[in-house]
Amino acid sequence: MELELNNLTKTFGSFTAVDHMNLTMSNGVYGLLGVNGAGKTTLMRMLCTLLRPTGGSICCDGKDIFKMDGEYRKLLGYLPQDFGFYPEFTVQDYLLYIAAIKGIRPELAKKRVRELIPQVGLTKAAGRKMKKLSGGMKRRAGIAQAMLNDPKILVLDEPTAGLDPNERIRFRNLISELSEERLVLLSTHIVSDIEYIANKIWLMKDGTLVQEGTAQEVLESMPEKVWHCRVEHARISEAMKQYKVSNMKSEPQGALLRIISPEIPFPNAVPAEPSLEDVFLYYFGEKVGEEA
Amino acid sequence: MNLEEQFKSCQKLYRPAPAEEKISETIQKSAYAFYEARQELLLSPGEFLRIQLKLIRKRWWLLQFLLLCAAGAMLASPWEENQIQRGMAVCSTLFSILTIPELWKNRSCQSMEIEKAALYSLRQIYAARILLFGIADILLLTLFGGTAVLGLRFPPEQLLIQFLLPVTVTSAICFGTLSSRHKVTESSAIVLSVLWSALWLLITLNEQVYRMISLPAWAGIFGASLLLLCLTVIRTLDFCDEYLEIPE
Repeated sequence: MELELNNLTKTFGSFTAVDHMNLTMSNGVYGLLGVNGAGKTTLMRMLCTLLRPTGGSICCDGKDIFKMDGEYRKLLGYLPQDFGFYPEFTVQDYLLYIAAIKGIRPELAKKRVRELIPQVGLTKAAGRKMKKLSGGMKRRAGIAQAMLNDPKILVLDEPTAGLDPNERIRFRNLISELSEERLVLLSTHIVSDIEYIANKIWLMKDGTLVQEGTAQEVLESMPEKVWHCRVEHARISEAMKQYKVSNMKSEPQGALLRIISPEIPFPNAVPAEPSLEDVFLYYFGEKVGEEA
Repeated sequence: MNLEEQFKSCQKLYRPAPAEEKISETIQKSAYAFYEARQELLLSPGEFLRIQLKLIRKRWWLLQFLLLCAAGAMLASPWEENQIQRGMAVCSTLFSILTIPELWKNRSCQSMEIEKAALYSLRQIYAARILLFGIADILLLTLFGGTAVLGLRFPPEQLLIQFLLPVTVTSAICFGTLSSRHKVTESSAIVLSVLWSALWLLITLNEQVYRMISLPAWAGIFGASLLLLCLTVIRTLDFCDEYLEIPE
């Protein structure tokens, strides 16, 4: 299974949400990282045929996905950012309903639901109404609905939004487990969501890709260095204005800063190993006082 | 040794020992083959329609039925003509308003995005629900119309002017707002319907205006309202394809 984006562009009036993107994806986990408003959701909606591109095309194994129509949607599993559901449905009824609109026959739908409910950890909640589920449980039900047709392409838009750390870890493991023999595209603005599970990371800003590669390649792409240094209270705000500070830990005598800078920021600064969060800040962050 | 004895001795010699593992393996393989074959078969349009029927809350149809019963009771009552006209105007608007919660369900539950990405698209889901509501409402209205005209001797032209015409216009307003590019809510559709109902009351209660319009003209207005309804239904279905194209 191969998805190819050729010069993909989407505009809303004078605003360009996705700007001439060229990409190729095959089986594996792809992490799309970017700040809110970078164009991630628009890109994902185009990949799910919810939005038509203004320019360019998306091809699945060489065929235009909009021409494939239902044939393409048969291969697709999608979890949107604002995941809606019929609140009066139980988890089981909801999944059976989604299975029906995916064209799955009732006997097969029942089997798939029976398999998926324990897989996403909703066995005890299967008979509970959707409106009574916690945020994490709703997301897991969302993943289950996306998996009903055993999709070859799984698109997850901000799947961990609103989840607590425990549930985020659980979710990550679940996605890893489901990613075998399929193409998983995962968008997020939370770095740790994709750091460990994505085979390839894309950094997206203002509708274009600013960097792509494996986690290691993305880390190496940052031309600046990361420094650790202790700064007195009086100099903290100056440091924040002058440098990109990826972390600050207050201490009685001052603060321990993690700074991204091409040269040594303070004489006492020591180099540190860069993390994906540093890279994220380097590409998307601003210094204090800068306009977003 | 006769044949029976030979058979018995043979049974003793070759008593088959069932291999349970093999049996369960066969069962598993059969089940797998069954589901594999089923995977290729898609849900038929009839089954899809049945599932959409299950999704619709039947309470709205019950309420529509009760409303028509009330309208029938009103026609049978010794009320004055203008009071009946007023009652019919209210009932006709309410009849159409009762379809709003189900038509707005996908939107109010924010389930449109998932439904649009499914094999049976949002357009087909809306088409199925509109079809089911259409069938149910036509059945209810036929029953009501038949009872009113044949049982209660209510003039058919009056039924057309006082009930069917406002029902069609209110429904057109509902579909028009549902397909609006301005993401109008259910309450806005209700408010617009009530405003139309008030306007309709003003027209029908003004004897001068009411008498001025001849029967063929009323029939023409009814035809135009039916056409408007069809156009708004088509617009609603088209809207399903592009509702996300509208910037937030």
